[in-house]
Amino acid sequence: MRYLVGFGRFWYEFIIGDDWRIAAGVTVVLAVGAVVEAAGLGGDWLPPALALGMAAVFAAPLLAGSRPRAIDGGSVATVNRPARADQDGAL
Amino acid sequence: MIGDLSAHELGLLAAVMLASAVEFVEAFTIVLAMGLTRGWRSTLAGTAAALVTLALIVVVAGYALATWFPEALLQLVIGALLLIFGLQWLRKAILRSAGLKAEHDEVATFEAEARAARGAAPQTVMGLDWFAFVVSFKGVLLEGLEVVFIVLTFGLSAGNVPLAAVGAAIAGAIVLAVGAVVHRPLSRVPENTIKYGVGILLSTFGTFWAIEGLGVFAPDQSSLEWPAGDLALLGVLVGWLVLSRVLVATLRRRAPAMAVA
Repeated sequence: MRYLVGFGRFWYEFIIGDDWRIAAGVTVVLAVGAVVEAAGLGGDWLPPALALGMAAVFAAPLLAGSRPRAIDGGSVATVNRPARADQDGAL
Repeated sequence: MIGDLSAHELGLLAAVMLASAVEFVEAFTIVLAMGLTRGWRSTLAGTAAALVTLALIVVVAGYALATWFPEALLQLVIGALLLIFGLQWLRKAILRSAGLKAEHDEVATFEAEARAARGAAPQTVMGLDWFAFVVSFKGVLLEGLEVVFIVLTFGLSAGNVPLAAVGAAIAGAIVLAVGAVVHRPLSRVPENTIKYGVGILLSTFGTFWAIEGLGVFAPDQSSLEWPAGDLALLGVLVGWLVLSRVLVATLRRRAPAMAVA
């Protein structure tokens, strides 16, 4: 069981990495594209529109996560705080 | 020979070489730390064992994927994986460029590995220093898996696994040659710049192929066509580049506000 958990964690960290929202966003955009294509509504506009969707789901968490906000009586915090080099993960 | 390659294939070769070089630099640091502190025989044995394992994975997984999956489905699945993987690289590179994340430090990694190697108790298995063997094997295997992933995803999506493998091999040979000459961690390699470039390339090809692969949901199951065909790759690349520069500039402006804390 321990090995299975370790195996699963390795692949999660390998593919998904530090920010699961990127994987979730990409999946949602592709799912929307799949539905449009399956419904026969696709056309030349679809690939560029989906690419714009990819850009949006990538940028949104980065911008939202790094917006300074006051917590704990006025100190500034952010999701993307400077990290130590040893917390880099697989990269 | 190089002149015979199309722009698409040259892009593939460059992307695989750059991405693989970064991983080879990281693997080299671990191997060097083991070799210098525990001896080269067991270290090289561990490295060779990992390389053989990686080669087997490329052959088996490459054959299985190329044989069992229809082209459009392969593009969708592999393109999506490549895109998610590439965007992770790009995200980290953007955060580092904006000063919100520490740079990767090969010298610090080398020192940490060497310290652990000096402190480890000697244990001999089949005539090998087991610590040096296992650490080298795991280090090369884990970093090499990223190379394998890149070779397979790029190679299968572009229909040219051998070219992708050649790109990785060239990168490995260059890192090995430079490493053998300088005989210390390759800390002067502009790792973040390379990762930034690779992140852009992986995201570009990932976006292109994943969206093409959505054609698997169309009645004829053929790949989707981008307007302007392969030329659209250039547009996607410019798009990711511009977006990343805007993000770096925006996040950099916010960084001082965070430093006040």
